[in-house]
Amino acid sequence: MQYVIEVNGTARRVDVDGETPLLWVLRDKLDLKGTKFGCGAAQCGACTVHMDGQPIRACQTPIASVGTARITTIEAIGQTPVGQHVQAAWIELDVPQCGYCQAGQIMSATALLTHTPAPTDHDINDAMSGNLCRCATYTRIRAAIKRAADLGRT
Amino acid sequence: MLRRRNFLKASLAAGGGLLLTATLRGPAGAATLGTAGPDAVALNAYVRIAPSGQVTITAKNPEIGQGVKMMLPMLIAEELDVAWADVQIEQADLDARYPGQVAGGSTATPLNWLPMRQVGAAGRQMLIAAAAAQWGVPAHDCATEPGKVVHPASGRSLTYGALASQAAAIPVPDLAKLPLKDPKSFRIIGQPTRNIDVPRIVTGQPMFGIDVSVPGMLYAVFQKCDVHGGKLVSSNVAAIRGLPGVRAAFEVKGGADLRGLLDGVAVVADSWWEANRARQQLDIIWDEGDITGQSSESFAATAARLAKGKPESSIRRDGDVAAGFAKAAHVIEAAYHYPFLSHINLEPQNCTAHYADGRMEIWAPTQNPAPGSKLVAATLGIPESAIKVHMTRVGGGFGRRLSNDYMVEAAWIAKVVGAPVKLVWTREDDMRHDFYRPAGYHFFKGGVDANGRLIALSDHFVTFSQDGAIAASADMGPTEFPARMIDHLDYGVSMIPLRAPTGPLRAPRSNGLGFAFQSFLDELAHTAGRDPVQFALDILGPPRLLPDPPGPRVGPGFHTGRMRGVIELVAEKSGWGKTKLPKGTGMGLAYYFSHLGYFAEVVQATVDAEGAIVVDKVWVAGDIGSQIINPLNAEHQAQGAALDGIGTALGQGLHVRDGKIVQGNFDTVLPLRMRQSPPVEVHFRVTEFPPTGLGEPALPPALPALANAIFAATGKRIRSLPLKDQDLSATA
Amino acid sequence: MIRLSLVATVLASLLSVAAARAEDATARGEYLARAGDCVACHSVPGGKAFAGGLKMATPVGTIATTNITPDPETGIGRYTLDDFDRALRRGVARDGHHLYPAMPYPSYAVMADDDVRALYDYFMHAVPPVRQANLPSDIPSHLSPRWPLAVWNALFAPSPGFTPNPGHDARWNRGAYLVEGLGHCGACHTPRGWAWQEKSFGAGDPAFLAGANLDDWSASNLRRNVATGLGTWSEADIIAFLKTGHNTHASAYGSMSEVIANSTSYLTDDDLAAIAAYLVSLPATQAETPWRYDPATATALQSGHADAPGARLYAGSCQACHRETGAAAPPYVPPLAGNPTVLDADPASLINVVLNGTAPLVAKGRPDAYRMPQFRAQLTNRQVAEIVTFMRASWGNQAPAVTADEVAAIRKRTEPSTDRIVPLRMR
Repeated sequence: MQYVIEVNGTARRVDVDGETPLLWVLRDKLDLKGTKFGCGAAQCGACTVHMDGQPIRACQTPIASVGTARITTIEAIGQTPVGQHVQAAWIELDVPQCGYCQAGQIMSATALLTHTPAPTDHDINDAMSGNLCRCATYTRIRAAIKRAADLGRT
Repeated sequence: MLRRRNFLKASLAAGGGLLLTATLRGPAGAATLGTAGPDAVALNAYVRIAPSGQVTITAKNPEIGQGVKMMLPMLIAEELDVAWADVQIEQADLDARYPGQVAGGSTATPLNWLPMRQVGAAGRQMLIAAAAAQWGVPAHDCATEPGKVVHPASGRSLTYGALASQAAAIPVPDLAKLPLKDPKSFRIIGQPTRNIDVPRIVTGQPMFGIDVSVPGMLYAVFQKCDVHGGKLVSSNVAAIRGLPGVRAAFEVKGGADLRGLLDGVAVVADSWWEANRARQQLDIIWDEGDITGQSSESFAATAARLAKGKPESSIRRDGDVAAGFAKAAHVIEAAYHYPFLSHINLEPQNCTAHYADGRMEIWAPTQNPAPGSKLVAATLGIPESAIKVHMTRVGGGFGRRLSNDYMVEAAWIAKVVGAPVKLVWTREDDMRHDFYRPAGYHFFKGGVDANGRLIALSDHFVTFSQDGAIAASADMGPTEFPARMIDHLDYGVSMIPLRAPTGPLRAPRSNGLGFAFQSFLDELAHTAGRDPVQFALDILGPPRLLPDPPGPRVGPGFHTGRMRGVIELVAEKSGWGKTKLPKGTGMGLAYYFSHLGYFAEVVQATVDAEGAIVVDKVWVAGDIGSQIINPLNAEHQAQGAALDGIGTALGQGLHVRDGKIVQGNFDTVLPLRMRQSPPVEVHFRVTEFPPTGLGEPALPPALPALANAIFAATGKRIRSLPLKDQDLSATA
Repeated sequence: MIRLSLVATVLASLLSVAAARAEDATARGEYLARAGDCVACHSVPGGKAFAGGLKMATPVGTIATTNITPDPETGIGRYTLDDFDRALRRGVARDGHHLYPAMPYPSYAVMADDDVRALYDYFMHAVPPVRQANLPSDIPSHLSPRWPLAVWNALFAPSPGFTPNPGHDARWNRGAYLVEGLGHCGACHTPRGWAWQEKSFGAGDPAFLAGANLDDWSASNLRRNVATGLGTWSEADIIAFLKTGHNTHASAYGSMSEVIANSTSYLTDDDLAAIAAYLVSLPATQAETPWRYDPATATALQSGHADAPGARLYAGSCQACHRETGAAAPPYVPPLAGNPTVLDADPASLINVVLNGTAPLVAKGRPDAYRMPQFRAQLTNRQVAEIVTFMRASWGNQAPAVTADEVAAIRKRTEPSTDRIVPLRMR
């Protein structure tokens, strides 16, 4: 079945079964490998992308359900000011260890900072607890979100 | 302290720059540090200097998030004396010229601290010699500044870029005689240094094994028996071949080695999703073999039964433990248990392989590529010289990827299919086909005298065997703390046969033994009415080195003073005994020596009336020697390791039923999440000892420190993990 | 005359449809065994088909299902057609003892003679015999005498035979035959009375398929109730659900997944259409306010400032799949907005699914692509209650709140579902 979806501002045509998760369309059909496979059950957040600005789990998003929604992935999140601040803060604070979860963390953090520019620890806990980091870099993720918030203020 | 006979070879690099190839004998102490094999044969470290002055340094070891891709080049760059900003880092492939291409045992620092610096120093000396020759001055009148050789007397200077070609022709100096920098003049070592891969990580560039893409690549999944080593009887594989996207589906007959290729059914398709969807329609009849007694309940019952008898064998016996108990003012007994664990690397196991014209090319996220290459050669019957292994960035190691089962699967499938194939496991495959941290049962008895000092301790350790021998990473050594510090001590062991394969998980052995021993020692401190810090310092006694007994895994011994140091440091930093805590909140201490690192940790935790645990804060004090190579990463590794321990204690434990692992995903095995993650304060105590590694030793104390904090908060002693399975509510 | 001929036509079409469907009697028998879902109760996962051994909880104790393979010693190999018929339609075993009505013989009573014979032929000739002794049931001795079952039968079991309703067409009557008979839908979906009897066995009674709680699942109301029933479902929706386990309104879970896996996904399109035609004819039990989407919840969740109790937990644990709109991605991931299970006055199924997740739903051998994970280990009783209450009061949903005690009780009595695909092999 043919689907045309908008990914990172570009219309992309793919020919897959409607049940196919957006994750595998992004990774294997559109060669956008920044979005990661971790659990296939919406339990780890490694596949977080934005659908019309909302963080969703691409592994649990059938391509048939995407419709005309705008999909944004880690490859393009730096095109928004908030995304830029988050990436800069991540680099400045040297957040990653193995790095595998970090694309998903950044997507969730960017969504949080977009609607809550000065998040409290409680806001961070709520917004970020769907994203596992097996290396447990949470101390720096938390600090980097606050740093990105600072960058957004100046 | 590590002696090496070394020599360097230099040659002109293809690009015209200086290529330094260091060949050195493996460190004599390698075997004692837990790495496999005899002296390594040859180490090669690349340093390429472009005419522009750009320096490219090859990182030889697998990067699993421990920061070794930065650390090893930092050592070279320091002694080479280049500006870090001019350094580019290249990840090595598996290459016979590099010894010890393995990520395991926190060994990279102790094994490479001198050799990598010598590689850099040799390069610097050759560059000086080239400049001295050009200027016609004695080499010893020349010096270096970052990226250039200077002649202070004349004020002349030449950049490394300009000198590289001539330097490559200079005879290689004797590494043993090379002067190394005084640590006081380090410009790179000891500086907080950011990971150069982060800009690529935060923009989603493909770096990991799972991101590998090869033209014409197909995607594979592999279904094995959930009872480890079960044999395939029959399957409906023919029906799978007609499913959408499927290019090949076939049965694989494997061997008996649980670390090698096992029986299964491979499904290869145009996309991974199609391959996995087709695989879900497999209907396979397995011969599971004998699964009698292979369940968590049965293991617990067997352990309890074995504990009633004498241990099957002795690990250590000092003094007369019965007499010690008889003399003791208080004697307590307690049974401890920790569960099987999966490594749960966030990047599921995967490997890409391409077999063409008799050659196998492999891209793998592996911690241990060399045995993988050997395994592929032996299983597929192709010479190792025809195998090329590329090491990708690894989305978490934790010891899982010391085994290369997924590599041999990918290679086998690729050879059958005759096209490049990327094998990707599901999360469920990963949890159910792991080399598990073995569960363990400890039946302790301890006695304290009237002065509150520990005088007698026994442990009947019930662990697991595989094929008659003790299972991998399921053993306990004769120096397990507090052995050597207690007069009357008796450690014995009994074993339960296990089908599931076991293996090292971050801080192997220590991650379980630490919980059991450090919790029971806390119990003894409270029984004696002593403060746990004072109780620990009493056991340790005066500062001294306790040498290891001779044996296959002889190490550098245990220094009581270094452990005292970190205990005192963590007590001071945490405000131990000085902080007034509200009801329901408590602090717990634990300390542990592993992987040459001394760590003491304090956890503060709160338990509410419903039994919910909040970990308020963790303080970490560590002694890893004289030099923290990259403080930015060191703090982070210690934080991550401590939190890994907290998460493991809170939410992880596998259940075995009918020989199979019950859990399959992160809804039942719970890694730490942001909302559970406390602040972690890290302090290092710098001592005069050689630098050692940091991937693991900060982990073991975190679990018992949390368990001891819960006791302090609630009066409930935690003798079994994970905590999610315990009822800590006020009414329980 | 007209009336008679209608009956004759209906009967003839029932028989001819059945006859055309199957080339021979055993194939037809196999189809009927599917329609009756015999394998679901008379097998255990991983065990041999129809060899019995499944434990079923009843109000009087746990009974174990029996071996119905043609093994002469441990199965039904010595059953004549009459013996088989007596067990199937009247609940009396060959040795004369009365079966517990966990065996849905009161429903099977409506089966036609020809179908009984076809089923008998299938079990005797196409099912391989399995030597497996029946397990004893652990019903307390004072409750174990079987003679009261005869009384129970006299009181509650309908008399055998199917009488087509001349007020409806052949398709409807075929649907009635399947739903009331072989499909034994009422065994779960019809409320039970004081003696565990289904309150009704036919379309005429408003209690029939009005929804019931069984083993901590609330089997949905299958009548035209517009909020808590199937009132907004088209016939195509019902067909899709029975064929695949999913439609745009809801997804199957619990034992309905097994019904779809072993039974309804194998039914012909004609039979599914007949079932749908029948179900949409069942009037609502009561007038209900139709569910209407309210965008306020989505707006609040999108802003990141939803402060209702449970909203933050929903955002953290559920929203990634079910979305801030509660609309999710049907038919793959079920919506929560307007879903009859969420609107059900009885929250048992919703609590159960949140705690225990769902097992893979296998339709004609193919598992579904998406699965509900379990939250038993991740959420406390209070948190589950807050999330479930939030779902039941959001997006226009109006269903009563849930307490932590209700969650605790269901947690204690239920087990988590497995993600493993366990095929029940009929062949």
